[in-house]
Amino acid sequence: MIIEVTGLVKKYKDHVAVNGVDLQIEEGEIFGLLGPNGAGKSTTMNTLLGLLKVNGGTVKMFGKDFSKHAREIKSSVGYVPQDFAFFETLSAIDNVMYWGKLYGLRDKELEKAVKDALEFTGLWDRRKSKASTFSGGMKRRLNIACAIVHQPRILFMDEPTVGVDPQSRNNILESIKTMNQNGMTIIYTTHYMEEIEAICERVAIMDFGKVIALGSIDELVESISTGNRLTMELIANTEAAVPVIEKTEGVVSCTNMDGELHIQLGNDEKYLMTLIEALMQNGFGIKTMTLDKPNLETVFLQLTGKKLRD
Amino acid sequence: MNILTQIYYTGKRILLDPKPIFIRLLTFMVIILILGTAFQNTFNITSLDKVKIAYSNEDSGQIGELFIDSMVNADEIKSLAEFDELASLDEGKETLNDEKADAFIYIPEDFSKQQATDGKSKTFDVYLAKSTGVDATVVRNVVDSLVNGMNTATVVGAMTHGKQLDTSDSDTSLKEEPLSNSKSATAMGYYAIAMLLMFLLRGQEYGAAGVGEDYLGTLGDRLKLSPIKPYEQYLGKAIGLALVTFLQGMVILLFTKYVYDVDWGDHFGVIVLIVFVFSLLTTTLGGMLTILTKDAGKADSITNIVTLASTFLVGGFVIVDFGPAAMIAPSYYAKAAIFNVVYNDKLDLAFVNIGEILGITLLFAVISIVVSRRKRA
Repeated sequence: MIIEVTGLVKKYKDHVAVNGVDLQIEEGEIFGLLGPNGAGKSTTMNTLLGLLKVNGGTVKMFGKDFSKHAREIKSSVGYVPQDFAFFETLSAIDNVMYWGKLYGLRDKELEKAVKDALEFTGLWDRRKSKASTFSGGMKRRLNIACAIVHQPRILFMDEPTVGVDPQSRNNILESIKTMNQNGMTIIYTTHYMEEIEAICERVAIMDFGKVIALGSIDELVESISTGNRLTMELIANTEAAVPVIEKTEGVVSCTNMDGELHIQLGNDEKYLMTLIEALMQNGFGIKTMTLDKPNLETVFLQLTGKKLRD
Repeated sequence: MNILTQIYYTGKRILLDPKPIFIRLLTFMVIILILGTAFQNTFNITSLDKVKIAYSNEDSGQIGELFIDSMVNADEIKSLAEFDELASLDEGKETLNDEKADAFIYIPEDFSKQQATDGKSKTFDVYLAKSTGVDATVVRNVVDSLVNGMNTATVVGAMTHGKQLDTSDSDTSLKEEPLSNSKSATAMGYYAIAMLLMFLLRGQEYGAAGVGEDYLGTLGDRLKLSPIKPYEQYLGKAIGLALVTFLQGMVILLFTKYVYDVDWGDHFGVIVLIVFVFSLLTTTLGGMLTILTKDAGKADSITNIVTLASTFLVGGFVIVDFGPAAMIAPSYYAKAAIFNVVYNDKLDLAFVNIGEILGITLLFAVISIVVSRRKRA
């Protein structure tokens, strides 16, 4: 295990921000921390990094106690914070060079590392431009370039796509996959379920400072799935259709919400066909129909009774 | 090595944004020019018109005439006063009342006899115009000098048994002595010093913002995660920021020296040293305020108060002496050091002041490092 966290606790006076978190992360993983705002993801990350004093528990990285080997461990760790952590008045190359120097890189080794980082993030052509002139997406990429210039073994990324356009977000996610393929372990926090599903192999879902679910995405979905969710609009007589639907084989529940039918179906895919046939036979015309496959959102909803973005 | 990296990039990133620096420098140059010009007359008495002295000699003997001759014909007195002989005491009083003269000297009829009979001091009357001031002071000095000269001449005369007195040598008994060895400040010079110190106090702002960036924000988090040691981080930042303030201070120093012709004394290198150590002091003070308040915004507000209060206490706006209370002002020691170099030519005292500035700087730095370490995770 490259990271082992046991019984991590972080309190702010009476508020427990992180409550007994246990995590084991293997080298080469992209590990996601998913949860709504205020769930304790960033606090967990900051305590793992030693940026916050912990009230309990231990953190081991590379098999060593972080509190006792902080300096040694820090040189192998990179951090992409949620906010921009570079100098706006310096050029991109100066910013990356600065962080490279702080990590002890010099001369040709430094030049190569800086070039690699800027090329990787697609900023080499704009290397001499001041950071203040960059777009939001470019700033996000510069934030990453500063964190990877020293080629860390573990990269912590705290919501690195906040406020960027979809294209830049996709670029960043692709970059993360590439870095991971090159051997870097990534710890990634977000409240965007889609990002976790796009890049993470394993995920810990957090709420109120606790890990409420931990595993691969498939494992988590399997563990809580009670079937498919179907949303349907009929051409007419929606209320009259509810008893018909409820009597159909495979239907777990049906509710009419402002003319929109929310139907919970059993796991077997044949139940969908049975339902459609029953409606047709009883003269109900279908206007729209959406089948929601269970995902992490469903998992979170099932576990907490609320949506991720509530 | 990390200290040098910190110094280099701290300085570079501020200096790469020259517009605010230029505006700030220009503002202070203009303020120095305005204050230096506006208060020119308060500091400099460049010339005096000649004092008008009327006299009337009614002495029946020789000494009165001798006195008048020595007064009217002395070159040094001629440069200060012009004389007008009147016929009587009444005419003299009338002249004064009409403000046609600044003073009237009346030598009575028995002036020579006074000594001959009783050997006591001779007495003559000096009347001053009602509007007394510098002119009256000149008259008093002229008369005092003449009396001293006359006394000397009389004594010499007595010792030479009635030989004719050589009045042409009477000036030799009058010796000019400056009040002290100090140079006097010009308005431009005084306000160049005052505004330079005020400008350097603004270095606190760099300290407050820079340290806030390193210790409070996300950039600070990333720095904490880097292998840089805390003392390297602090020293590099403080020296880098101080150099930025110092370089700007040097621009003011050189500009006032060569454009405003301000006299910075005969030891310019020591003045440069004072500017550098005071830049260090103001930077560490600003940084300490941020670390103590844990809020760069609050610290910045406090620095503004410190700058204004300190400038006021050391007489930067108006010349006021607050006595020992002024010692709480950070710029007190820098002002004392500069004055000791420029006006008193006392380098030993200036170096004592520099030592005091460095001591205070060290205190601020130690407090900052200790408190920031406590606040680290």
